[in-house]
Amino acid sequence: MDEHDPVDEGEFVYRRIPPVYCDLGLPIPIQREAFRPSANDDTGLSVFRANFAQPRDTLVNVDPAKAKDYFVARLLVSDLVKLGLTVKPDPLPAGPPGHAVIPELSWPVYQANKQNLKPILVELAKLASAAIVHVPT
Amino acid sequence: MEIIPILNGPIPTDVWAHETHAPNGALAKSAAPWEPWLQKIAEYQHLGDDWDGAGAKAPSLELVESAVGLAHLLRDREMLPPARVAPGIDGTILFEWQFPDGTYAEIEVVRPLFAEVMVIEPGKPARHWTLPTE
Repeated sequence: MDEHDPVDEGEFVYRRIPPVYCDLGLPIPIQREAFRPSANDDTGLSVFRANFAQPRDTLVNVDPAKAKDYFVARLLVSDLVKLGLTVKPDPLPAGPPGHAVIPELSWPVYQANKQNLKPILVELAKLASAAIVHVPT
Repeated sequence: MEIIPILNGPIPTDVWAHETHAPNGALAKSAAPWEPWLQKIAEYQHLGDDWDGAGAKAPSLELVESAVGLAHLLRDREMLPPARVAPGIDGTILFEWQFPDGTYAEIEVVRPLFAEVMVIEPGKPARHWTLPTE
């Protein structure tokens, strides 16, 4: 299996969640802002394929002082497809392994279609909230 | 859901601006039970860029003051305090409500004296509008 191989709908992907966007005391612990693309997400929102990385691996290129407080959530690709999203391989030479993007959630697409995409971000937050696979130690 | 009529009510620019630029400053006023959230929002004025370690932009002081002013305005209208407030990754500030019936509501202050509202009630399409309303 190669990181460049197409992403199967049966795969899981990980999304790292900054601590400010996860409150385990709420019915929906994860805030939808955790899925909002930033200006750096010019080709799509970053996720990591579970076939190539462990949850903790996804945090290696986050500032170490802050990475220790991050959560990681897991999403089933077929659930993303039901929301009209796709996952495309986008390996990073410097890692972390299994990097992929959701092109429908790139910065330019989000800026052009924010009103329609915000409810989808809420749905992503609900899905992710049901599968938090890494909590700060 | 009582939040909806309050959010749907008129929020004119001058009323919001008055709360934001109150004599003692919006950041200095007290407003229990919103107090913990007001304190949290006020703390966002000290965020710097890259506050999340992944490149997030910090909100401006003017935007923080607007968010505090809006919170005072909503508190004055006896709106329930939010379930969560958070800084956005692009320099915005979010208020979020989650209700037992599954209703989700949020206000995102995206620039000084301007906010985007979204309400999602179960089984209904999301509704969007902006503040101020007039």
